[in-house]
Amino acid sequence: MSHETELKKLNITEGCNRKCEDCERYFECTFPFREVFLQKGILRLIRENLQNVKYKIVVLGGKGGVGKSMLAVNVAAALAKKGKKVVVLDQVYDCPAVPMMLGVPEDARLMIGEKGLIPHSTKWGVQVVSTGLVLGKDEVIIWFHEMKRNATEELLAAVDYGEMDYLIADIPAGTSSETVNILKYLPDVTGALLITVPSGVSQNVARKCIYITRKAGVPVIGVVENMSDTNCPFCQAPVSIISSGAGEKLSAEERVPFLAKIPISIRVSTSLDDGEPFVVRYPESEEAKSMLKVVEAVSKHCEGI
Amino acid sequence: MGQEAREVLSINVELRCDRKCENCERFFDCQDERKWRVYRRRRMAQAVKKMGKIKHKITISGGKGGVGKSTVSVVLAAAFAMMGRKVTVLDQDFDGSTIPRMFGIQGKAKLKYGPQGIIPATDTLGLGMQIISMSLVYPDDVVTMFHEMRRGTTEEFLANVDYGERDYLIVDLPPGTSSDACNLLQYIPDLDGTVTVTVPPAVSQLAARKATLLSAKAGSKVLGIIENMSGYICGTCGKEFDFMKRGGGEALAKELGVPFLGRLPLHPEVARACDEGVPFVYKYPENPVSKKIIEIARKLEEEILPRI
Repeated sequence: MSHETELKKLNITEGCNRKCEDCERYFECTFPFREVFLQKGILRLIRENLQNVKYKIVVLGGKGGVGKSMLAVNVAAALAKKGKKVVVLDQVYDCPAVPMMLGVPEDARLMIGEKGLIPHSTKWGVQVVSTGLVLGKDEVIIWFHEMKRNATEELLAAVDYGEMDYLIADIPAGTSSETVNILKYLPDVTGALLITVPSGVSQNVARKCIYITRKAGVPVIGVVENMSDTNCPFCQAPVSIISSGAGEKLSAEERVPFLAKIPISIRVSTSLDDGEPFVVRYPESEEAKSMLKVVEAVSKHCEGI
Repeated sequence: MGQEAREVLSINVELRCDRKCENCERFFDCQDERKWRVYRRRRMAQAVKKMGKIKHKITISGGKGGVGKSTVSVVLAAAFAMMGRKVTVLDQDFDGSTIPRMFGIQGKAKLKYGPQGIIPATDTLGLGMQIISMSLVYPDDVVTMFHEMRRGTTEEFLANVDYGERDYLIVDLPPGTSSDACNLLQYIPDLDGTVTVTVPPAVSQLAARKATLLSAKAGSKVLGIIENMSGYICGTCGKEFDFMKRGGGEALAKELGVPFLGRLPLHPEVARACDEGVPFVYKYPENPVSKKIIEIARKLEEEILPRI
């Protein structure tokens, strides 16, 4: 009767067509042709355009809803508070939230000047580049890989960044299109911040992100655990909303530094809804103190102080 | 030199029509009648046929990540199964698939190949559920697939799986409104509809709204909105408190004119069951959160879904 065999792989591999910009196996590739791609065309333009941006940080998590955008806007606001020039590049095209989290009014639009697109300035001294400033609230975009890659190219090569201390790229969930695009197109990434939540289930994909940064040769600054333990406001018993400790375990297993635990709190979510990062609004809170540890690690990694 | 600033009207990424409907970003917007031919040819036709004996097909979307789409997919599927229905869960999240873990079969079960195509894995609880997921093929690898390969995988999972006769197919979508969500809505033309999962904050509604609008754009019905992580029930004193301002989901449902299915608070038993790899509605059927899930499943079957 029927004989069953284990499914070893899915039959979806494509051969090499010398289109490096479009290749899924770019980081593993050892073809000499790849060097040519690195030297000419769009990558050269991007490198020239970003030459006055000192440090480039990517924020990843692999999993959705772990607080990538929250981390990006708070680190940016904290660095700006220290007098740094910071721009947040929102790589989330499907549902960009960074503008709202930074209090950018809904009708604000990205403008284009003589030298290219002009990053939008926010109240917190942080500049922002996001497709949320181009598309309307009800506009649903369906972009497959090709279009997303074009958008990434455009936002790296055609934005007038000028002199910047930090560029912080907020990357959406997943380990494919947007993640690979930015790691491929952003030259000399200074470091990656990885954010996760305490549950065991979330660690698989966070781990995959660490592997991708390794493949791409980007150093990991450290792991941040969000939505960590807090206390019940009624009985003060310790509460682990999701479960506990998996972030620390991941950092030990993968030998990357563990930076901080950000306790879950209604202040985090309301500050994001209101567009005022909590490092600015509640500088004395536990959350802000944890966040400052992250910012210190970033400064240390980048500037050596 | 004076800088004359103009508003950016669009990002310059448009591509032209190459008659490859199965690969088109603007499939749902397209007015060309010829696009419907796509369902009659090749893999699309095969997918329609393979899924012909599934009564209800529901997608669980959210737009935003981490709102509990996978958790809701798993518990809703378990709730239907506990009502005696034959249920299949299809994990459409290729990069971060967690469904096998939530069923406790990660690394233990694998997809098999038989004469009728791919044979789904089954749950170990005796609920008769079928599970299809990327990590039942590649348990540990990093998956980096761009659109073309993702579409290939979707095709493989829809057109080449031996589903047999089922009552429910529940598809767990990854975050975003592009590749995976779109592939799926395109490949299942007779979808019953979408359940959108969201979390309470206002900022999360940006994404939930777009996901809901995408379903509408694809001509699929929005079955309702669930507000997940809406409050937390303390395991010690039993009182409920908020760690995100509640009400965002209900407000969105009202705004878009779609049913609000209910709020799901968090509870320590929920987290424990998830990590242990047992759907909590099965493990703790008396838990207040489980009761809500069962209520939602009933509501979907009795009031919202068409009767067959």
